[in-house]
Amino acid sequence: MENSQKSKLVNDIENSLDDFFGEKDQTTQATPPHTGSSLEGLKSAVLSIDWEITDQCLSDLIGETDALLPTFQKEPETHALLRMLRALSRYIQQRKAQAHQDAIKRVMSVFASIESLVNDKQMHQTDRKRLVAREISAFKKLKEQIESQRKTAVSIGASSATEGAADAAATMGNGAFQAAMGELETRFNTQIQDLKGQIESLRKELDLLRKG
Amino acid sequence: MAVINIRKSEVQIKIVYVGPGRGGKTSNLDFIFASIRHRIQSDMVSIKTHGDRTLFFDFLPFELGQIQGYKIKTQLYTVPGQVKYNATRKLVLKGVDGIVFVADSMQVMREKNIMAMENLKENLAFYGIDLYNKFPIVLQYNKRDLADEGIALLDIDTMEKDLNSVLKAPYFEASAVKGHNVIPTVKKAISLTIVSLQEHLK
Repeated sequence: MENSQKSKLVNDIENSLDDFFGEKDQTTQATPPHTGSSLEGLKSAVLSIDWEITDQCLSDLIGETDALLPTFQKEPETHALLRMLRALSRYIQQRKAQAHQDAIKRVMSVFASIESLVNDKQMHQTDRKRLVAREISAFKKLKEQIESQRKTAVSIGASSATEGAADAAATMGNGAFQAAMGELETRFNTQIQDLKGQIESLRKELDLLRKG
Repeated sequence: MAVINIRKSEVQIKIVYVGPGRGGKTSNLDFIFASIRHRIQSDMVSIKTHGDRTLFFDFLPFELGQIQGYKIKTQLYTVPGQVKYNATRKLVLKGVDGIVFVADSMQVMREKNIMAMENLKENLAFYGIDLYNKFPIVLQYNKRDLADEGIALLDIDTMEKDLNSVLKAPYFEASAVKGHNVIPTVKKAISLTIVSLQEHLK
């Protein structure tokens, strides 16, 4: 390339770069990266579980969600979705590999909706409510599927339970076996109660949103 | 190699930030993103492990505008710096058009800087690129601000001798976390890359 052509090109590039990044030294102008809890932090946590689901990733996700809740206290739609995200994360953390296969999809979808609510300030109130209602409905459907799976598992388990229980009781001793079964039952009940509570509270919020 | 769409008058260039682990590559991209986010439609994608290490890569795409009738689309990538992720580094370097080498100025990182530069040379050679044959590269001597905290830093002459004695590439003393010289580094890298591309196509 001839020198004159090259210097013209360099000049054009530098002008474009100055226009794009700003001519002045950015050191004092640019906003430093946000280091506290932010939607970026939540996004990073969500992307992490998309990559690999570990206890730590889920704890990070719950932590990020908890940290954001006070920030969106006065935005009921976003607040509701954040709580839903927290409930889903807790469920996956508790059930691990046994978690329903659609639970992760729900996490992604709820996060995408949160992002839309936060980033699109122009979104009409009706659309915001519709978005939340859609997520609540999908969350309810997932909960129903989880309950139905659990019932199926219980009925299948019941038929083989007599033999299995006899074997287990024989090896563990009757008292220890009863205690283990009791613990399992309590844990299932707590999880169900927790999910029911979340649904109930989300339903109330939805009613309030509809009225408002 | 850059993607050139003659019909759309569009050029897409790929610039990759490389260097030793914990050297500040992602901090560079974070700062750039924070500076231009109000102007761009796209988002920055980061895939991190626990403890904020880059696991796969960071990716920041944006449109720069028109230069000599061509719309310039820029993609900035970082690679994971940790030695064990060489396969990922090699993969991300595929099709690279320009490099920013982020060196860590701490004295204890001297060896790691040199190893990272050697690794870059080898990985580029895998794609038939000779780093020493006018390949567009900018060096950034990062973490200069740590001197204020009493941390022993390499002097610039030593870093130049270690990393830039053959390359003779432009370099910047910088502090990525504070944003000092982050934008001038990326501007220089984009400029060198476009000029090199133009020369290559002539």
